[in-house]
Amino acid sequence: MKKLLKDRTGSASIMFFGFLFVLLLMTFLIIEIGATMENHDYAVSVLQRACNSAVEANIMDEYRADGILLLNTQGADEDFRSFVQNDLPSKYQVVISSVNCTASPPSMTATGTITFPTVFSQYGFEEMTVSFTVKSTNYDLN
Amino acid sequence: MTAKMKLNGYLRSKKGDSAVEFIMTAAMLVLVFAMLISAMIYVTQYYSASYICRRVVRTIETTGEYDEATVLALADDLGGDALDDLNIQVDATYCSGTRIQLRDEFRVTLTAEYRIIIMQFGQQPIYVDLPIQIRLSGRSEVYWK
Repeated sequence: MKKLLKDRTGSASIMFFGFLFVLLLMTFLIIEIGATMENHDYAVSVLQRACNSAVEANIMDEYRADGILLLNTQGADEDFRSFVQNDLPSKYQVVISSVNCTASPPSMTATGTITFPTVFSQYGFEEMTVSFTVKSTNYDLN
Repeated sequence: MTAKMKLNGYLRSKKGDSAVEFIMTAAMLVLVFAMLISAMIYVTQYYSASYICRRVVRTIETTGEYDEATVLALADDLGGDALDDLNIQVDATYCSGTRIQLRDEFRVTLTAEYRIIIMQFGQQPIYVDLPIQIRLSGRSEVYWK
């Protein structure tokens, strides 16, 4: 065993496999970080869309005709939650901690957390959890 | 006879075996490194195409309409002209002209190719065309009366 450990034959091959392992690990990590960022961006854009759509869909048209913008705040809140639930794929878990709406100017601010799996989740690591804040204000009189 | 003996001596000599092993390993390492860099460039191009597709989807979502010229100009601005055979196709149900009604779903398919040149002999390179295809869907955020 001692003889085997002191034998320097094949040291370059071991170095080669070491380098290869590190290179592959770095490549894998870079790809995974990219995929995680893409998942996060997608979830935030769906949440932003839900916020914009909820405000747009709940502006009271009977007032808009007179140049007044008023938001049905309860309807906007309900629509936001419904749009988020319908639009986000099941791998995302969303916890909405607050939805604040103002009737005039029509606006909404929602906060909460999004949780989604990464490739490491299958090896027992925790899923990625990030907080979000989405805001929408509508001044469109047309 | 002497030359044959000399050759036998050279072949049996262990001098410089580490150098030979190092050169062969280094060559393999350079080859693997080149392959990994090519793969990384492909992945980068894929993410770039994915970003262009997401921006196109967001533009259609926020404007509530699909204007082909605007979408192509946006793709070019975002570096889409660096991709070969870039094509963007939008499938939607329009409420009038190019307008998409609030919450109506549309699909954007971006296809392109990334060419990896393996070797070049004179004017004729040996290359591999790797396909890039991104499919995303979105929903209009504009209410059209």
